[in-house]
Amino acid sequence: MPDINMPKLSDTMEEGTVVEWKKKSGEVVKKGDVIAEVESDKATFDLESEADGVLNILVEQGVPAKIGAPIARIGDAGAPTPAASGGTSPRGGEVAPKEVAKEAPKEAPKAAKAKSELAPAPAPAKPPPPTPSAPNGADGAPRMAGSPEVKASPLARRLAAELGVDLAAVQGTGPEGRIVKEDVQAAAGQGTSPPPASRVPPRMAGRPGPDVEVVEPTRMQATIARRMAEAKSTVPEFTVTVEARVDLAVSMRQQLKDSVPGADKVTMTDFLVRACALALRKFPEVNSSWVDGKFQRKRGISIGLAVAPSQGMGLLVPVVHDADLKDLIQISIESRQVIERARSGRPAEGDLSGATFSISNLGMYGVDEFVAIINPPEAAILAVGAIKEVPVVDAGRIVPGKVMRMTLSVDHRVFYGATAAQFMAEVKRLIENPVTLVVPATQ
Amino acid sequence: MAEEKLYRVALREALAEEMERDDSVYLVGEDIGKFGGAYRVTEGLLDRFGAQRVVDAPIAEEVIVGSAIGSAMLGLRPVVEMMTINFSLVAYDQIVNNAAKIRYMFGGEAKVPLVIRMPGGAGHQLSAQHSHSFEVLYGLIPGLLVVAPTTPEDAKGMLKSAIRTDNPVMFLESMSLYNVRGMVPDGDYTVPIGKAAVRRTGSDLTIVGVSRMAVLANEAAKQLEEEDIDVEVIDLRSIRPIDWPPIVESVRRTSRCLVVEEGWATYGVTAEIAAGVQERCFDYLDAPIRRLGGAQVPMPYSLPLEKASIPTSEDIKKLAREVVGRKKLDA
Repeated sequence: MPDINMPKLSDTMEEGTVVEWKKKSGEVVKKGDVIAEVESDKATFDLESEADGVLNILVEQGVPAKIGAPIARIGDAGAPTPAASGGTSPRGGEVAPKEVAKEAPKEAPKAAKAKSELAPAPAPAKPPPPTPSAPNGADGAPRMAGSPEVKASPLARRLAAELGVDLAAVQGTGPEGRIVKEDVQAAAGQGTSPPPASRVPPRMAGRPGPDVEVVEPTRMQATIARRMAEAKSTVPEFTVTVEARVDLAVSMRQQLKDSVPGADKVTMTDFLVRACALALRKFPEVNSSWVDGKFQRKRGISIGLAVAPSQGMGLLVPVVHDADLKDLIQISIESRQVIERARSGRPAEGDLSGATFSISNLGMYGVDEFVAIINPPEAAILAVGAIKEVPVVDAGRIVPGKVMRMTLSVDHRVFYGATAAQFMAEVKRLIENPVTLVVPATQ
Repeated sequence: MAEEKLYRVALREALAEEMERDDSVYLVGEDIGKFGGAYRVTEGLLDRFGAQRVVDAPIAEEVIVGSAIGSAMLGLRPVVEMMTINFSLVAYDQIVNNAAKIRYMFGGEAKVPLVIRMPGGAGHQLSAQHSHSFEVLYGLIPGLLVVAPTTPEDAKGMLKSAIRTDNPVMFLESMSLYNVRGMVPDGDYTVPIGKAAVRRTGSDLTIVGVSRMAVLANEAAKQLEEEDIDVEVIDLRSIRPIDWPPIVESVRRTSRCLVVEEGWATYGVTAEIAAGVQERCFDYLDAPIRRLGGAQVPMPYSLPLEKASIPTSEDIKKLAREVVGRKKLDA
């Protein structure tokens, strides 16, 4: 019955926390299986089983354990395993300190090394990186979600994960002793728990230093931070804004929803995808990249859609491929599917890659207009604001009209002001004449 | 200038104005002509539009609805009055198997622009067979639109929308609302089908009310204000389709939800709403979603028992306090 102990992963590490058990107590595991995601002071890493057998979890997820303390045991298949301890004691007392000191450093590199070697391989064994969230609940699940003895509302659990509050330490005041929102807020306010990790902007994470408190982002947040920093520091960008009348597009969308089978979920973003795809076909220089001092003109037109994950903080960019070859309804159906898959944390191959242009629509949040950061190697991204009802001058008269502002961020190495203006004029023309968007796609 | 009118008068105006506007609109039902309708909604319309367009039908609901469906397929726009929703059970096959499905089964070559108006609800000592709230029986059928307006303004505007829609609309009136007064805009206006109405905004709890229960929820919310419980009231209005966005937006803000209907809550409209809210707002909920419906009995004839079987604003207040929970202790 080998114990699995909390490994030591860095010189400064004193204790670690299982963020998520990837296997359940009683489940049969094989040597090399990823059984848990463990968080140290420096990083989150996958912990692999060192033996074949039946897993018996000793320390609940979210409960810190000292280095070397047993956090799980691998038993013989068939042998009865004691039920997982629900207590907060990691049962460290059972292990002689000498053994701990001897074994821990040995195991740490092994776990870490094994992971890096197998980096691509564990993917099927473990769910793909799910929606990002607070670092202490890497899959968006609050820390204590698996703990049956804590009675808390879903909102309280979510807040606890976001604010870094340990629910086990919170007294519930809701009906039947349930922990509710106000309890978590009170606990966070009293400073009974560590400062909220997720409040620290992810850009901090890339530059750890001795006098700086280090907060680990989720993997997705780390990637976003790196890529956005790269874009802002290497892409010389300028922006172009246009305002489009969208009365016709709005009413056409309603008409489609009311009367065309399959079009009931068509969104303004779908209109924009279609419009941009058509405009990109007309302006191939926009559908390009600057790579190693050369222009790369992309034959395919694939449009990334910046969306928020369904839980937690982060950003997903699911892609509608070959958008210029698809009609509006196809785009509507496909974009919905691809967004759903991305948000579920189980994207299909290609769902999150290969975009040649991106759209970020914050209209649903009532944003007037904004400037988006280019997602390299794409050359441009369209930032879309809310549709607003405003007085407009139409043929010399003031009439109520619906307008929408769109801002294109452009990589100036790839194309230039005049092209950007013409491209935006074309997008505006298409969106203002939405009949152009519902005719069938052509090759 | 808007004017205060009775719910039944608002309905009558909608019928008359649509009949003036469109020759293909006609009315058919039991006692709707000479007698003016069991609830006086169609009073005076026979004199005004003649027996061709205000048809007194025999007591044969299946024939009334079946013939209305046929005429609708051929281009007329029938507005059927079921004397009460209870009698519509006799025509349920026509409604479910024909009205709801013909457009689909014929690939859209035939439409059924049919409206069936029918009052439901209890509270008039009409006993077990004549006191039903059957929103759910129609709400579960794809192919039907199902609405339950609660104000004279909505009654008129939604009836006009229903008549102008090319699909069958179950127009659920409430016997207890016919004498309710409310402001009705002048002139021709419509209220869309498929939209809920936020009757009152609040921050502590969202109550979604179905049909007359939306009115009671509003009364309860006013009284709960004194207890420092700030309730948002949403009048569902459209039972099929359900207008999720305002409900979801509201519950995400208040984190608490109570759903109320007059009919039986088990398998009820409230069950559907609660399930949908749970799916869409799980991580925002600070308390279990609660439901309130009528007692699980055939409606008693005895007045005290009948009263005890129908949700009251007191019942709503009691449950609201439970959902909000801690607020009560604080107060």
